[in-house]
Amino acid sequence: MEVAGRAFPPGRSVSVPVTLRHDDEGVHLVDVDGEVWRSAEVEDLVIDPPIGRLERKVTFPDGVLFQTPDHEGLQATLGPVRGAALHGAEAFRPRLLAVIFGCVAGIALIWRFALPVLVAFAVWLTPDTMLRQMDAGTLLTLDQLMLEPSELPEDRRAEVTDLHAALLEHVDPDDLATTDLLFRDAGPQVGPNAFALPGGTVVITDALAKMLEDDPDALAGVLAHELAHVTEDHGLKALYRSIALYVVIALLAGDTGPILDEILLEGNVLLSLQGSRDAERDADAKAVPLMQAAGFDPEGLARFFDRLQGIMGDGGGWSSTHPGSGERAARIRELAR
Amino acid sequence: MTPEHLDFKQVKFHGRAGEWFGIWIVNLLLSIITIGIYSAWAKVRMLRYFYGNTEIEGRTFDYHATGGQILIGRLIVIGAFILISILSGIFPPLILLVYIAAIFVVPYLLIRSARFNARNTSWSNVRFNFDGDYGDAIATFLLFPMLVAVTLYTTIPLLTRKAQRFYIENHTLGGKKFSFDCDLGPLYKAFGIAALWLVGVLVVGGVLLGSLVFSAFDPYNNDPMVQVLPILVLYAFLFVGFFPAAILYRALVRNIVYANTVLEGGHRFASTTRPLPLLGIAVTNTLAVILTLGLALPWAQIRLTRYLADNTFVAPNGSLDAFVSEIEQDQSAIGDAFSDIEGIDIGGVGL
Repeated sequence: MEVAGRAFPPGRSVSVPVTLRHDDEGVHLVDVDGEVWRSAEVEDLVIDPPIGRLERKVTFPDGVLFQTPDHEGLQATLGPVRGAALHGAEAFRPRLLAVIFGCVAGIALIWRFALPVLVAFAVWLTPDTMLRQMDAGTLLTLDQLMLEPSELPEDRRAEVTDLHAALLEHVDPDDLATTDLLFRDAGPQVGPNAFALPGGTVVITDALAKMLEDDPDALAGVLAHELAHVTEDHGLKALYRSIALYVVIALLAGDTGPILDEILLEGNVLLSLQGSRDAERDADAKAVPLMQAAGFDPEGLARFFDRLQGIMGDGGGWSSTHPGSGERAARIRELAR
Repeated sequence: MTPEHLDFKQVKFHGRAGEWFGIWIVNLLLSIITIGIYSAWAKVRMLRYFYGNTEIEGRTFDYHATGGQILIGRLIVIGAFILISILSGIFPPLILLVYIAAIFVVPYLLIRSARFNARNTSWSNVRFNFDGDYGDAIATFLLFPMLVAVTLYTTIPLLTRKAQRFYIENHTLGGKKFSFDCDLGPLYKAFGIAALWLVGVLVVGGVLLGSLVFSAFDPYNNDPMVQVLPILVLYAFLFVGFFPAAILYRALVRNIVYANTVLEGGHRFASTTRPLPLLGIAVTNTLAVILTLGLALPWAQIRLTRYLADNTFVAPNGSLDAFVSEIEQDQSAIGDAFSDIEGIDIGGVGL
């Protein structure tokens, strides 16, 4: 049996037309004059697995490369080769639908089971030093973009700090990289609000401190809610989830090309919204026992959401990062019972 | 310089969307089943498909790294990350040392990565090679970006030229050197066009947004859309302004870079990519992939590669038969894996 193609001397760009012949004495490369150029045993050849319609390559022990576009001819000459089954499975036929289905099921399983494990592992690995630096970096950006120094009186700050300290006594210190409590003026757009950074830094706005001046239980409730975000690693998990997603897609699907690449890296806003609504519910639920342990009345947090609904409206639309205030107040009252 | 005046040959790309889809989806399934391990072999299969289907003057490219090499490289990088994290947990100040060390180690890894990729790539049975100087890498990836930051991004063309010079001039094909040099003028023109797009988007966006904010400005507006407005504006700016501007710049720079690159022996190159068609392909590709939940990705990849190949030309100066490989192969893998994981792409003439 024989198949026509061309041969390259080892590492050279020049090629000559040859025939690859397989007989009882082995495999030979024969040039146009019938001269035998190279001979080898078939088991000493390196035969590349087939990919698509690409020319097939056979490398001789001394590095001579034989190349042919004739897939059938090569198979007839050298017999079945390694990788033929894979090549057959890849053929563009209706049965690829089964492969697609398998991929969808596999991705769903990864999403449901592997991603949380991966994220939990990454959270476990993150050193406290790095968390503190992340907090400091984020705060610097926020200070430049939207936050002003607080104008809250010193004694009012001390009162809030005492509430925070009372709660901290009932939080495992290992869960927090830092216990900073900061005051900032965020202007009327943000309004009464508070947020926690992944390392444990809690920031409350002047508007919130003023609004809840008469209600320490409510303010403690907000602080407990923010601390719950940190102990449950909600921020860090959301960050790692989006990074893991990007890496997994890059490794599994290959190069996604311009724009799409950026969407994957930066644009998972809608996805993270769903995640953050679950995180809010979780933080509400974890805040209740923390408040009770520290001697506060969970009703305070429910009261806060009632008041928030009074000024800001319910605010629980599909695009919102937070569930509706009315729903949250009702759920807290239920949990506190 | 137009391709017609010299004996320029178009680069041909023979990949087909249906065929590549089959390979891609089987790659994906095997990668999922093996919890990612097969993805190293999938990468090899992908590169062999794309390189093997890219042809210049009847000669194709090939990729020679093995899945095993890439897997080992990835495991080393993941292991290093885990080790550093655990050690910094035990001894916190270590993380600062790691940050400082990373600044000096990353340029080294970039050289290793480029070398691994070059040595495992061949054209017409001849291997490429890459040999970059560490000091030069520090200048390219550390000092020039610092200069760009200090000059408020007005010196991006200088960085572009420096990076291309570093990447191209350190590459060889069978011992023959690539050389590259160009004036800053055309690069600044490209930069100006991209900047113009950015400014245009800012002006139009500013006018639209101004009217929107004017009607919606109310501190206690209870429309939740108002609360997320700043985020939406930021993303709109990124996706309408910044990313398209980057694509425009890249398309124009590609043409300049190819026109000014010579392979020892007088072989020349040309690129005729046009910014708006390229942007159109990027946008429609993205929409297609999103609307098909990712299934159109192989088609999108083939389409972009074909557009780039169709707009790439090589003018051989005499015979292409005289190239001889210098090196046989590169067994190292860490540099390659690093570039894999970090998604680093220093760009260049990678055909």
